[in-house]
Amino acid sequence: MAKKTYDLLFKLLLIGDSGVGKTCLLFRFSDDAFNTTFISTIGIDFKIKTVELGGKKIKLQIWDTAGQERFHTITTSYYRGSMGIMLVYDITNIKTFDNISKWLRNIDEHANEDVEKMILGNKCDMDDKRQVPTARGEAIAREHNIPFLETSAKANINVEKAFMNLAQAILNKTPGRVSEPNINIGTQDTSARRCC
Amino acid sequence: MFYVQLMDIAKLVQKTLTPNEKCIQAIECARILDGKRTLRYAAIVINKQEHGVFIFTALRVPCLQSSDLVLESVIPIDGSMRCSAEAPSQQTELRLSLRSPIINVLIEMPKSDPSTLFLAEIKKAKDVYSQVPAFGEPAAIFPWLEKYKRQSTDFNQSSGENPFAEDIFDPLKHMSLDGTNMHVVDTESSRQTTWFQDDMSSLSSSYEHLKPAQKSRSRDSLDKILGGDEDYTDSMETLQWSLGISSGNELPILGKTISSREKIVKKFLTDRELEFTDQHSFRIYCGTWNVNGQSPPDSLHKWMVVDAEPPDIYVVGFQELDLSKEAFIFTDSPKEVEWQKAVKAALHPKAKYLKVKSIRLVGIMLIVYIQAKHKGFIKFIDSDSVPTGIMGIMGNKGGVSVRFTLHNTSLCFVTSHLAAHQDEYERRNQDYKDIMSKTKFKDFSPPLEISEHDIVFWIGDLNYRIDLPIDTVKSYIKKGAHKKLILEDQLYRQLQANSEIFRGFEEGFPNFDPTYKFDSGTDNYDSSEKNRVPAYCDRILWRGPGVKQLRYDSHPQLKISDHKPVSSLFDVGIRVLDDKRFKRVYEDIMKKLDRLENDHLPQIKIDNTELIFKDVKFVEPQVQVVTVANVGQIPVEFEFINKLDDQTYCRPWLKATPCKSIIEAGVCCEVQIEVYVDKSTAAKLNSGEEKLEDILVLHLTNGKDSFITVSGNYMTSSFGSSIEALIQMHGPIREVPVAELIEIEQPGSLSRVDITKDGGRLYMVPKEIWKMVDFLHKYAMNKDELFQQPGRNSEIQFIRDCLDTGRPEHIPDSLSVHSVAEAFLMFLESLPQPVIPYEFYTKCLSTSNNLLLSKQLVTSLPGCHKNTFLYICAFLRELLKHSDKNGLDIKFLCSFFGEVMLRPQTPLFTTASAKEAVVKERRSKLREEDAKKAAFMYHFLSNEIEL
Repeated sequence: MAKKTYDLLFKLLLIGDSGVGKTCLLFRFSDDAFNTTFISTIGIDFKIKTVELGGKKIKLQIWDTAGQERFHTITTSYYRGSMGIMLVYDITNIKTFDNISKWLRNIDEHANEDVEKMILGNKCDMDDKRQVPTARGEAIAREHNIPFLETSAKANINVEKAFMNLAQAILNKTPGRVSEPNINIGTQDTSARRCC
Repeated sequence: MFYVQLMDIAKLVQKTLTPNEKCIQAIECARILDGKRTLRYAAIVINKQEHGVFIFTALRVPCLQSSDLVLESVIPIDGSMRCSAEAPSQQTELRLSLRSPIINVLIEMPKSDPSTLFLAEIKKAKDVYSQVPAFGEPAAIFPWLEKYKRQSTDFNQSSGENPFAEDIFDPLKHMSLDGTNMHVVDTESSRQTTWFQDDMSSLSSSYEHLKPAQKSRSRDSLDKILGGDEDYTDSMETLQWSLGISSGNELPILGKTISSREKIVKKFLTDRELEFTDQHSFRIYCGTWNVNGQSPPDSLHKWMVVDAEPPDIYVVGFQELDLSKEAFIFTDSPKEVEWQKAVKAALHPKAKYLKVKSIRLVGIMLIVYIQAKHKGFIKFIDSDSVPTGIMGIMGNKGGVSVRFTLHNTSLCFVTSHLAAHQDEYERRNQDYKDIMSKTKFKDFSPPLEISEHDIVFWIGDLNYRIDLPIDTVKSYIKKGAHKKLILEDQLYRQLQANSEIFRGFEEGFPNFDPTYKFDSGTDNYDSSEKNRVPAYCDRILWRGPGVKQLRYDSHPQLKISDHKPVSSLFDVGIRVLDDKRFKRVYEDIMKKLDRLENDHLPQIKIDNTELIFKDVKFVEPQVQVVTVANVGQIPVEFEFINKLDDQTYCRPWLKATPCKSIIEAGVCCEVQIEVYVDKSTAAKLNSGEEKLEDILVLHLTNGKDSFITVSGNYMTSSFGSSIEALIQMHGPIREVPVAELIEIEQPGSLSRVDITKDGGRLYMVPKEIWKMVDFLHKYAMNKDELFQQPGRNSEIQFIRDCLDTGRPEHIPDSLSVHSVAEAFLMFLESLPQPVIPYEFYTKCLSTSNNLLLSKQLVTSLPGCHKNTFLYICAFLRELLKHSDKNGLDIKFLCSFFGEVMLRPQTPLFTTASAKEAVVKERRSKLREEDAKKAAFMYHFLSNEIEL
């Protein structure tokens, strides 16, 4: 297997109704690109992206899930093990917002208890077609005590911020914030020997 | 991690001892000197009844051979030895103080069992001593220890009174050469003296202390530079640190996998170094002097201060520093003290300098100073020495080197004294080659060599001569025709010829008289009998880009030696890292690597992820092909995996072939998806309890999962319908509306049938059974091998359609009786509830030996099941009447139909992976059950039973 080339590995998961732009958000974040053609994700895909946070190199493994309803049962089995979940809705489609509570229930049922969550209202560049006011998004996020951002994968608004914030939240509660014991011992030794 | 290999150390210590001495315990510890901790090994050695504590330093960590251990101190455990230990409760270490009249040793070790044992041994040793009867003066005790005391570096320090000889913080260079008593003294340790408190030992120690850290990264710098195996190394910070090492040449080119990511990062960074570094000019002074064993003159300023501006770096090399015999034998040299002092005093007065490192091999010494302002930008200081003298091991000839990295440029300085004599230039060449190949900076792994540095300065008494008659040389000297002299110089000619000697090195034109050989104290060339030809023995060469020589001089004013000192001043381009640009490049590389990694994830395309199977019929397989194309760059391994908590990857009526395979990059794999409904799955599909719907999860190893949805409609069939439902159907099943089918398949549907109402008629037995039995009764009575020969699939499917659609109304007589017989059996086996319903199964077995009870049991069966059972039994009895023709016997039919009509709800063989013993047990149980089933059947086939 590959050598560890990072301090920490965070597994993130993107969920939300079909067509809200999960794959586009991931594509924007990982490849800094946007594709207008809609190809429904039939399955579970992932990309990796290495970021630096707090002096640590963190490898994000971001899982993109199929949003179609018929796959919901299957996709819940991928919740377990993910450390952060992005719950995405489409601000131009009220239905996708109405389903937020259903998705949150799914998270409660299937994800790790301490999973970090974030709600994203995507497609915020299409304000003329907006069906979900920002305030409603903020309200539901506040209600569940979950960070919230409106994003646009197309216009590259808040995408980086969203992922970095989620990663930061995970990092903040990572015990000792160091996963590799080698490094830890190395520093201990250093201090022990530097003395005086 | 830090305290390791205790057993091994004891073994190594043992090897340094004479046969009658034994190391009873050795332990890794830290010696505390001047408040600093440094790695040591403490050992208890016994000779007869006398004990001593030996403290060793390590030449390298981990120690692999006894020569890696250098004895530092010896403390006899005698009456004068005082020992105290303290173990502060809040600390994990315990401190042990050992005091003898001559020496105090304070060591620290972890609170651990070996440490406790070690203390116990010392205490025991003290007890042993006190029990040995002492006669008279105890002064002469422990004579065996004397040789070790003399060997120990502590001893040498105290006796020689040479502060340079004490080797406290860099034990690594305390090298003893096999077979000789030669020592290389790392004069770096001079930090203890009052004179050199401005040297860089404190700086160096911030790296040095890391060296003996832990086994896996015993030398911290080495990991940083070359990307140790387990350690995370390519963080921006460490990379910045490591960049100045031009040892990246052994980095492998990007392989198939991204496994060695940090190596790639390093390679990318090295390739793009120019993008994030700027060349800054540093002035370097190089001076070399063969001092012929003399003490320094009053001042070295004339040699060492050659410009109004202070150089950034001083590199001063000496040869024949100490010609005394003692210099060969002992590690200390009073001459070194003098020269160190003199050099320090002659540093440019306009700047403050710190000593980087100095190293001496007998008479060859190299001292490197740097301006204090550059302190924060120098790292990875290391040194090495290579003797090439007598036997190739003596240090009268050879070379010593110091290397470090300044900002982003690696620098190496070598001073050497090569073989002498006019005609021995081949030997000089060999010496050069040896120094070049044998110098290893061992802080690095693999050890770094001279040639791997960005810039190398090679200075010293290289001893190359001028191949001209002495008179010619002297006349040229008089005329100042230096050019004519250098043209015949052995080194110059080799440099011009681009030979392998000093390949790549450059030298400025020595516009000065040959520096060798003078009558000491004069400017007169050798007037002795030997009458040596004057020569440019003392040279300064460099290799690497961005080096500009400003001056190249000799200094004839300094007359103490038979050589004149030589100096040179350089402007050297040092690559200085720009943090902002470095960050940008680094992030860019990270992005590229992420992309690379993403591109190398397994990628496939599936041509169809939604399969629809239309009109799936009982025992009639349908196959669709899905093409899985590997569109990625690496072979992919795929497998259909179980979803959620399922035990299998798909429903029982579904199958994928292959369900697991490897596809090479750019290749397609066809996966057959087959839907096949048989007797075990038909019932649930018939009753609507299950639908033809499933999702296959195609998983790629280390990659994504793809979903393939399978759906379809099942053509309901009388096969797999219950007896209860069948007897309610007046027409063929296909004519029954689905909703009604589901209704009559519900348990207890029969009791809701109102016979009095219109159409409330019930069949005695399912008409399908009747149709097949009727056919067999008509055509099979006299046929051989009934129920033994297989039928034809197509005919069985025809029979199915005939029964399900009522077209044709009766099974055509053109069909084979064996097809009908098989269809009949299949029909019975497909019944959701067997002819004898599940709940009666065990009872049947228990009553099988009793006719009456068996009869009673059949009476208690639900009406339609009872009727069907009796109907089939009657038919079988009819068959038996013709046994002379059809060859059937009652035994066969009993056991055969016993199994068909009497089925347990859960088959005994469920798991294939059962253990042999379990299987055996089950087999015997199965045989027993089969016998009982047959016995039960026998009651009803042997006689016509009136119920």
